[in-house]
Amino acid sequence: MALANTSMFAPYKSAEWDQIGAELKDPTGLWTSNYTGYMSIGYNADKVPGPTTMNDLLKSAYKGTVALNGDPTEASAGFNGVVMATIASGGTADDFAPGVDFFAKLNKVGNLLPVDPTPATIASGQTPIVIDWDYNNVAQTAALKGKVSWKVVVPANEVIAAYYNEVINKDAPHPAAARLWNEYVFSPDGQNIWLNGAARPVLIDVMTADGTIDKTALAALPVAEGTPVVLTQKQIEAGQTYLLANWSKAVQ
Amino acid sequence: MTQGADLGLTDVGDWDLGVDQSPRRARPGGALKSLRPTSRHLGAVPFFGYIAIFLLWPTIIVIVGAFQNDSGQLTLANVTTVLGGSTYLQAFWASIRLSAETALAGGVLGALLAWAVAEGDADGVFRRQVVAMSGVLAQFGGVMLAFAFLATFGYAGVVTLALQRVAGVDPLASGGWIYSFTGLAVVYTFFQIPLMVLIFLPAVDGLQVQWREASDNLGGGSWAYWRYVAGPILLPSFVGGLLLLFVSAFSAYATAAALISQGSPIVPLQIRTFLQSEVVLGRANVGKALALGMVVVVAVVMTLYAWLQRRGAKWRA
Repeated sequence: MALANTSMFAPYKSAEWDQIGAELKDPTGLWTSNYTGYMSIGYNADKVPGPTTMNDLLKSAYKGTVALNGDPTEASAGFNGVVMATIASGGTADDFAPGVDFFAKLNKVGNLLPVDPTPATIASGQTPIVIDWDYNNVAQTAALKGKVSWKVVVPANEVIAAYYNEVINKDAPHPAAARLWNEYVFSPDGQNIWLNGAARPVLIDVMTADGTIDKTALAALPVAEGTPVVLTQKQIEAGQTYLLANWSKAVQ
Repeated sequence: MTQGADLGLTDVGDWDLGVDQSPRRARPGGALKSLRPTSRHLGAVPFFGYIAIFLLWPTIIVIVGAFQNDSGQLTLANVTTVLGGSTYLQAFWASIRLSAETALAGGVLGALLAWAVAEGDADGVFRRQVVAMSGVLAQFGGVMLAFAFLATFGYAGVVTLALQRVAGVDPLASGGWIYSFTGLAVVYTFFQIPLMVLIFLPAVDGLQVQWREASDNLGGGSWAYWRYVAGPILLPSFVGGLLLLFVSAFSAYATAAALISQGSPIVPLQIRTFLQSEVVLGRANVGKALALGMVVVVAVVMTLYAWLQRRGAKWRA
């Protein structure tokens, strides 16, 4: 999310650069999106019924169970949890008010759990539902296998992505090494490494089409229906300002 | 872990009624009189160095930063953001309320405990236990204290689970009180009580038996003694203690940070947002403006404290 320091970046376009969508890179190559997760709902199937949408979480069955990974004014996962709630409430990424209202309602009905979720709170059952990136939730499923039935759902048509970017430091002591690394992470080998960690590489569609994708890893990803929403820098900044002014009041 | 509790302890000596703090009167004879003031203060240089590096320098950084924008130019924007944002003013109000409430609760309970200790046997087990426990518990703030409360009263806490399984009652049915303002108040009071015992005990110990006897001889009862003798003597120490407790709670950070994960209801947590957020960038100086507000509140309280201390000093031997 930090595009404030572009004056310190050196432009670079790797071999696959042209295949990356125009909205996911700087036109001069100062920064390039690399991989993302989708926002997801992880849930303890031993304790709660499986939700399919964000609005399900408002039901009384989920009293005192829903944790958001981090304060949205501080953590990216929390921030994008509000984006997911905004889209789920019928809003757009231009206005975070519906998302903040959603969490205010969630808090009012007593479903929002004021606990910061960690692997420990998930394992001990303190946080039966965690709103977080899908790769984090998927990692919990694997780590708790045999102990807790931790399932992951990416709500249909409420798909939110926020890419990690690759940049090259203008003053890198080994400028060629940084560029070589860039070539590697955007190659099929490099992109498949993200996929094996349950993240979604930026070239996922291209690689699926040309058959270089790791099919086993692809099949293991949580199903996601609908076009992912990716915020523009302007929308991110407007969202931050809105959250700074309103989040604290919404969850008290 | 900047538990403000430290503040209280360094000041404990100030409340010891038996110690004469004036260095000139404390030293017998005139051996030091011939020394010039400069060399007489030489021994204090490390102390002043310490104060300069760890108190003055950070304060200057905060004050200067509060009036600068991200690229170092002078601006009032940070301060007006804080004063104009109802979120921040609410956070200040919540911080002040939390500190005042826990100072009052901790102060009253701590003072009663100190009184009970002072009335008892000076070498007794009770006194030694309470003083030792207070010394430990007054410093038992921060993450350990938050953890202790979570492990006892949290969603997977021992008491919570016992009540749910044995008594069939869910103490958290109406929400997680421990993660809210109420929870903070209870946890803060836990370190305020022992801190008050440490601060207030020397003052209660300083009450001379002869004063009570004199009051009795003149025909005064219990009421007259407390109203006209002990009360006025103890009042500056008591109020001074409350002010220290206030500052101790006002500046506490780690306990709240470990307990509260959403909404940052108090000022230290709001400052955290500006310093470590991965979402809100380049606005660290708004955090410094918030810190400046805290400095102002503490300065007001400490001025009151210094004034009270001068009044209390009247009764020192």
